[in-house]
Amino acid sequence: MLELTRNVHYAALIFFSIAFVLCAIGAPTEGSPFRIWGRRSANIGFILITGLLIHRWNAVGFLPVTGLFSTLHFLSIWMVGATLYFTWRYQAFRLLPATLALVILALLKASGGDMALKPLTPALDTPLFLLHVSTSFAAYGLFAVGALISFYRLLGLSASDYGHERRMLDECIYLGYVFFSWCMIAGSLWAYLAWGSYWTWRIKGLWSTILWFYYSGVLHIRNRGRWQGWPLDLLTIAGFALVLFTFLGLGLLFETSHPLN
Amino acid sequence: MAVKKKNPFLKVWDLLISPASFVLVSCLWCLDLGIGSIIAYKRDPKFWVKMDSVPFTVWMDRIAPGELPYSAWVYILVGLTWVMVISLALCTVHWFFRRRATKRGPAELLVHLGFMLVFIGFVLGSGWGEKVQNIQITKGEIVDIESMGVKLKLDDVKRVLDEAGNALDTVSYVSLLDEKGELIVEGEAKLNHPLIDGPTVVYPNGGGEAIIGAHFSVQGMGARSVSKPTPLTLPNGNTISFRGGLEEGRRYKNWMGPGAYLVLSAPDGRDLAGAFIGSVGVFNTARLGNMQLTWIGPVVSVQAVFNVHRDPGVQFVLWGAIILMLGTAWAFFGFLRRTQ
Repeated sequence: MLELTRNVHYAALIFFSIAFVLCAIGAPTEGSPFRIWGRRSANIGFILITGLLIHRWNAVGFLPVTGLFSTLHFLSIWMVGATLYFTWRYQAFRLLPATLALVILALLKASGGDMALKPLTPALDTPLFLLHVSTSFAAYGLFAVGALISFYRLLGLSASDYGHERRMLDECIYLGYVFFSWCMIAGSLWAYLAWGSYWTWRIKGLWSTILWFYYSGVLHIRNRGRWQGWPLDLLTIAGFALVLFTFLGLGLLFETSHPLN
Repeated sequence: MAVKKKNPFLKVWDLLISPASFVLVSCLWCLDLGIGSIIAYKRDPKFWVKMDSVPFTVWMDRIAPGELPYSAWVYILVGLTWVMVISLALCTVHWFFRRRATKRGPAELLVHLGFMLVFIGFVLGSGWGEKVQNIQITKGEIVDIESMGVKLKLDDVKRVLDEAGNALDTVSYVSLLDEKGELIVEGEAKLNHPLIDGPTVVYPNGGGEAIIGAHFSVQGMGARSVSKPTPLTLPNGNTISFRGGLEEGRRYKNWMGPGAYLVLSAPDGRDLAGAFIGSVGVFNTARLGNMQLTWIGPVVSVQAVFNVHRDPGVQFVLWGAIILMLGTAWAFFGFLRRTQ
């Protein structure tokens, strides 16, 4: 399993790297073979990492997302998945290079993590874990893609052939918020059953609540006239910085209930 | 044409229900919590453990004042949270007047209601809840939890080990009794599966072998044993009782485990003397009153550790979570339908 994991991981990295180069060259040009083959290569990479996740899940009987390697893989699946959906729905090919750059960075960081499958500790052996983790990474992935779209908008670049950047941004923020709400609800119920309280004064929970309230605020103002344009874009980018700190910063630098080391 | 002046009450109302007000308070809330939590962690990584060990209002009343100014952010957070919830409540009231005709409205209403119920539950739990932690019970023992008016009995306990012999979980069979000893509820308690009786919940918090007594020899009397809760009665009517044990590798003051603290008491219950004896050299023999004791070994039993929490607001929180889930699901499918 370890050998297979390593091989598939590096194969996916290669396909994403090829896709990045091809998309960087051909994404702006409609009908360009670079862009078509770039997306195909990204599709293969996506199928590889998703297939690896399903295979590892099947092998151990639980969603394997407990360490740095697995979590970054899972985050990459959501980021690439959301962007590929946007390329299909809104012809957002120009977004692919940015997403792929982020995914390549995530997978390179994941290469340093432990790829072995560890047995699930009893505390994590609950369906609430599955719901909590899958929805949190769905949200993180959407917030990341949202930040990339905002970055494009700030630079005056187009992410979609149809000019649907605002619509894509709205989908990322709205659906990301819904997923993150489910993550928080499942996490609180799980904490109540496992540790005796739905609310604990621990740094991970506190920062997750900050993230939740932050995006509650963004959600409330995203359609208000005076917040359109760069203010909303800056807020979305700052939101992703908050995601990075809550997910990676706390997990790697602090002693938390969600360690990544 | 004269411009009609807006009623000042309406101006205040508009300000209170304005999303911008909510966003401003949210931002302040996030900043306060973010900065405060980092400072608190950097100063003492165990800060949170102390906060979690007692109900929030007890922490605010008794512990936080001693930690000022480093706990000031929590008081500010409480104030901002109240403002946020008032804003939420007023927005919900506003919905009934203005937005109930739209299809999106119910989803937003449910989400706001869910948040408010969670908050009400949190306030009830913080103000009137009770937390008793690290209750160590050996098999068959009954522990009185006076502050909650209940007793906890450990009927059986099994440890779940992995292939290497490391403890994964402790599965306990416990009974919760009322003050008179009548059974309230009984059942299994393990990780992710606590014993629940309404607002009272018994959570396992580990377990293992515990020293519950000692085997020792008394000069001129030979080998004797004592274990809790029954004291050893001596020929002169005095008693030796076991007051506490230290497992191997554990320390308390200058004492090192494995060992036991024994107390000599008069027939009327007065404590006359106490001594720690154990297997580590200097503690191998000890004087207890005018007797010379020599350590033979510990009396060991399996024990489990529990936290018992009583949270009168938990039903509000659970209903709030269900309503939040429904509201966000409504919002989710509504959003998908609108964007198709």
